[in-house]
Amino acid sequence: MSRLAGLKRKAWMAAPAALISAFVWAAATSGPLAPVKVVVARAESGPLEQRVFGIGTVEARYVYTIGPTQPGRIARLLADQGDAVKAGQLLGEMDPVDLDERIAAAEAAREKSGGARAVAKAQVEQAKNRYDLAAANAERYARLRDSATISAELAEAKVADADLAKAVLTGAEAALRIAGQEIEKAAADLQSLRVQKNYLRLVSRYDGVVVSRDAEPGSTVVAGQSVLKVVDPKTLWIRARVDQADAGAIAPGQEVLITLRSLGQHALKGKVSRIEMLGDSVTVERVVDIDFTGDAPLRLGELAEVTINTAPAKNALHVPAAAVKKADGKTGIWKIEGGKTVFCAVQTGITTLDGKTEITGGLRPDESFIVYSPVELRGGMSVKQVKTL
Amino acid sequence: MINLAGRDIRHHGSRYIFTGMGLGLLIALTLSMAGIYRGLVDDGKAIIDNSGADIWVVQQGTLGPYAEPSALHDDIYRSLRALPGVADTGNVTYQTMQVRSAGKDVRVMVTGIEPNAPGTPLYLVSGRPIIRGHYEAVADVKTGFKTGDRIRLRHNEYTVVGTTRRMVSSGGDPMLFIPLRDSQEEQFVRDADAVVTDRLRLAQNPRLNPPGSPGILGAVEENQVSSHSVNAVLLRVAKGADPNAVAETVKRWKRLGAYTKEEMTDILVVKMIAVSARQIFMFLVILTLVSTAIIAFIIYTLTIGKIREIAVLKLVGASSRTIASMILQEALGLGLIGFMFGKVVATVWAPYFPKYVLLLPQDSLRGIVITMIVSALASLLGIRAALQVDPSEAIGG
Repeated sequence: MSRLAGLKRKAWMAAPAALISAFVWAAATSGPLAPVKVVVARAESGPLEQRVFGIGTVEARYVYTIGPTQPGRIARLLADQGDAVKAGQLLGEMDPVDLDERIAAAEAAREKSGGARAVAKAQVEQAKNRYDLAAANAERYARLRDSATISAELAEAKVADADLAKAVLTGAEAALRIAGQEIEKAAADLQSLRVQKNYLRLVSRYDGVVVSRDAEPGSTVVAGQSVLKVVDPKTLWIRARVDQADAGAIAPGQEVLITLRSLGQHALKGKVSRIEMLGDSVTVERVVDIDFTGDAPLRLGELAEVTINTAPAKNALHVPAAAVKKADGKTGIWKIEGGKTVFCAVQTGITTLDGKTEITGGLRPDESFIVYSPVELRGGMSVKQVKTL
Repeated sequence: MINLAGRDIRHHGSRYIFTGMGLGLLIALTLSMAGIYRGLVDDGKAIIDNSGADIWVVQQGTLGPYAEPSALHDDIYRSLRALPGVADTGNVTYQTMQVRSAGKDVRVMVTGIEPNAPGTPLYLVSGRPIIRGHYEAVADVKTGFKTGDRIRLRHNEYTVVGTTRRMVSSGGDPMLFIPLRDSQEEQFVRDADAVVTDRLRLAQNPRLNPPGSPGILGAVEENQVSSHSVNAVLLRVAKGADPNAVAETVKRWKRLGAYTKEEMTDILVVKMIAVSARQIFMFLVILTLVSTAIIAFIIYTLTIGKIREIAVLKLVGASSRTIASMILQEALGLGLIGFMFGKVVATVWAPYFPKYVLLLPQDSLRGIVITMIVSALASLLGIRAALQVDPSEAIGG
């Protein structure tokens, strides 16, 4: 009984002690008295991957836009998107409106001018005959006058007849030349209309694949408007945008890993083809064109993530990027000296895409520093190291 | 001389301690309410302290970006960067939205930042900062996202690469940091259905899709989905420069709104959360009064319950002074136990509140002083009752 009472008394003695220790814990863990919990790490040496990240879209290097050269209505289209086409293949035709009739008229005009030429030729023959006759008569009469058989007047009249016949012949010959030119004109007119008709044919000038059909038969399009677009699947590439700050190390020929949005984590390979001359001054980005090294999937306009290997991995002293802070305009890291925080300026090099920052000066290997903290660090804070926050 | 109070407490140990614990729960409630009030004010200030900025440049004539909408062109920072006294500039966008991840819906403030510029989280608790210019995110731990999680905002999927703490909007919504260019897109690109419907509408409008000029429609569409706006430009002033002077220059010569840290704190704390903070403060005052009254009643009832014992003490010749000090000591002890228990309970349950609860040591100090004064005052009632007791009551009179 007395032992039970003693136990009970001990329990009641322990209760205030427990309460007091709980209170001390509560006061110490919250408020300014509590040290800041931090996670520390050590500077390590190891390989740093030098990579640059960008995003872009799958595009064709050249897009051939096929459309009419003058306004008109589309008569028929023979290709749809996805169709492979050859150079010179007919893909569609514009409505000729009255062009066929005009061609028929021009053909008739050519025939007609051929007839006119025959007429002119016959007239020349006729005029030539007449002239020959008149010239012979004039010669005969001249001899007769010389022999005083006829009057000089009559002989002169025959000379005048011959001159007239010559003039008629010259005129007929000119008419024949004109008729010849008329034939040429009619032929040229006809040719021009036929060329025009040929331009109503929508023909691909290159081998490729139709990627879009922008207008349908029956619709009216203006000159130069796109009816079909054709690309060459061998010229697919990615136009990627890369921040100007990262673009300095990029050069043609560098290897690239490409992730298309539709293909998820399945990475494709490519290489830098060129860096476009004009950067974007508003978004502060450069445009990098990347060729696929293997077969390019025909997924035009699709979003792609690109990771460019700008240089082989280099061995260097590095720290987690989360440890690098700015204080008083200087870059540095926070160290712990005697349980208190101290800022230490360091010189940094590259930062890898997986969050390692190269340290080029200001830190010795194996030195420890603060990586994570639950508050903004200031000098002289008392800290307590923990494994995770 | 024997310690009567100690003896009495030891005699009725469990009753005494349970009463103290009951009081403690009441005090814990009051302390938590004070913590909620402080947390509300601190939430308002957190976004200011954690953005690392000295000056907020916003659209002229607005109180933006937190209190009012504000929109600026994203190339304004160039002319600001060139002002004397400006050390660093950072474009930021803010947008509150629901984010769905693994079946749960979280309300977050999506903040677009430029890496290493003002506005980026100043500290992390795990992972790494944003390094790729696209599709990476740093989340406040209150969002519940972990490093490595993949979350979807509108059209795009983001990888959470790091987590931070106490990065909340003035309303207490946890922040999610994403690269600026992505956030500009998220702000203005709507869901795919809306985009398609919009395109159809545009195509039907003969003024935007005139026959004979097929190029106009494409240009209008492109213009509708591209954005070069930000909500604010954060400035860090150079060492030794006066933020007020720099803000004045921006206001006067750049024709923009500019607020220093003090002015921004004023906007957030005085203008934005003032009413809800006063509401909670009023409740805190009432709660303190009610707790005071309850403590007084408990101590008075406790004393009245011991009236027979006090009469016995009087009968055996104990002085009034001894009796009074016994009652006072017991009351103060009760107050002390209550306070200590209350403080412990408040500390333990504080992290489970959905919004931030900030328990300040000053508030605890005020709490203990008030508790002790109230206990002493309440014991006066008990002492008065005890001293009026007729000793004859001890023998059943």
